[in-house]
Amino acid sequence: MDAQLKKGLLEVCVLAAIKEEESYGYKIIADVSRYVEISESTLYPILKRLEATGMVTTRSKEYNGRLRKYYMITERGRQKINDFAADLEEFERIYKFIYGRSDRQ
Amino acid sequence: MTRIEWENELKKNMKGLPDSEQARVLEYYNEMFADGLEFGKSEKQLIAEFGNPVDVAYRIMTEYGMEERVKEGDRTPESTDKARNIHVETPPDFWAGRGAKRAHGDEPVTKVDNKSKKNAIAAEKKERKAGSITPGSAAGFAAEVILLGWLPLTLAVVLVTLGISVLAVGYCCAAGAVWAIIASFMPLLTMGVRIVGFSMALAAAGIAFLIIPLTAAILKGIGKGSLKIFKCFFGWFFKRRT
Repeated sequence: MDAQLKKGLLEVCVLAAIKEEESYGYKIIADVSRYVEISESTLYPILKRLEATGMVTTRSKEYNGRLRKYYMITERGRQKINDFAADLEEFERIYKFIYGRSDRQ
Repeated sequence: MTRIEWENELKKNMKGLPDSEQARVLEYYNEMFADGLEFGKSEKQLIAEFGNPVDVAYRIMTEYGMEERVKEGDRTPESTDKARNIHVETPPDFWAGRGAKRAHGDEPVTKVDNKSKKNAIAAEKKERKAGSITPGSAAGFAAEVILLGWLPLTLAVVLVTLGISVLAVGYCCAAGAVWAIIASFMPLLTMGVRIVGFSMALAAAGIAFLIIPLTAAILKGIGKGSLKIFKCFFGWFFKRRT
């Protein structure tokens, strides 16, 4: 898959992984990796960007005697997922154009 | 490579980042290690999953536009191109452990199926049951306790005993010298005895002044040598564990 395309996709995938409830790094990777390749070193910059743009907030919670960082989606993050869904429709039209299918059918 | 070594290598290659950011990255990977271990993976597996720490540092530094600060020679050949791409080389059993469905044309480097995974797990269990002393087994733990606890203790006792003995000889000579000096001035003794006593005092004092610094030098040398032996032993022992 094209790198830049995948970069955008992964951000939305990470947001989707925390859409229903907060989650932590390792679990996000376990959830997302069922659908698309992602590694720990890939996830870190994604989470950082999402936090910097206000789509994700973090909090630390005690777990088994240590602190674990949890990531929660914000309204802006939910909006990003909605925007992506809208982009998918456009993507589908482009896909049909590239593969010679008319959308006038 | 151990977890500590991996993290140290990562930290070394993030020197250009602000301290707060470095701490954040290390905290992230600390959590990843802790969660991975709780999920049943070994330190070695996790290190293989995370990959070359220099590559990881390179990707992080790329986000800050500082990739040129990471030593090129230490990176894996593909990392320069891949740092800006999302694709990361993954270990053979990565996907087997995660249960990922791969998209068409996005095949893993090595195909792994459930049978291979089961064989690998069975082989690992068999190796552990074989009774060989591996760092993870109970026998291995006992061996570690004996070697790490008994050996240095015994060596320490020998060194201390040796030191005391040599010092005792030295101080005896010094004490003998002092007594001889005092005796040489006692008025009841004849002149000849006094001269002999004084000579003995000088000789004993000379021996004491020679032995005491020599003892210190010997102990210092033994101490340095022992430290080197301990370092080599521990270095070999902990290397073996990885």
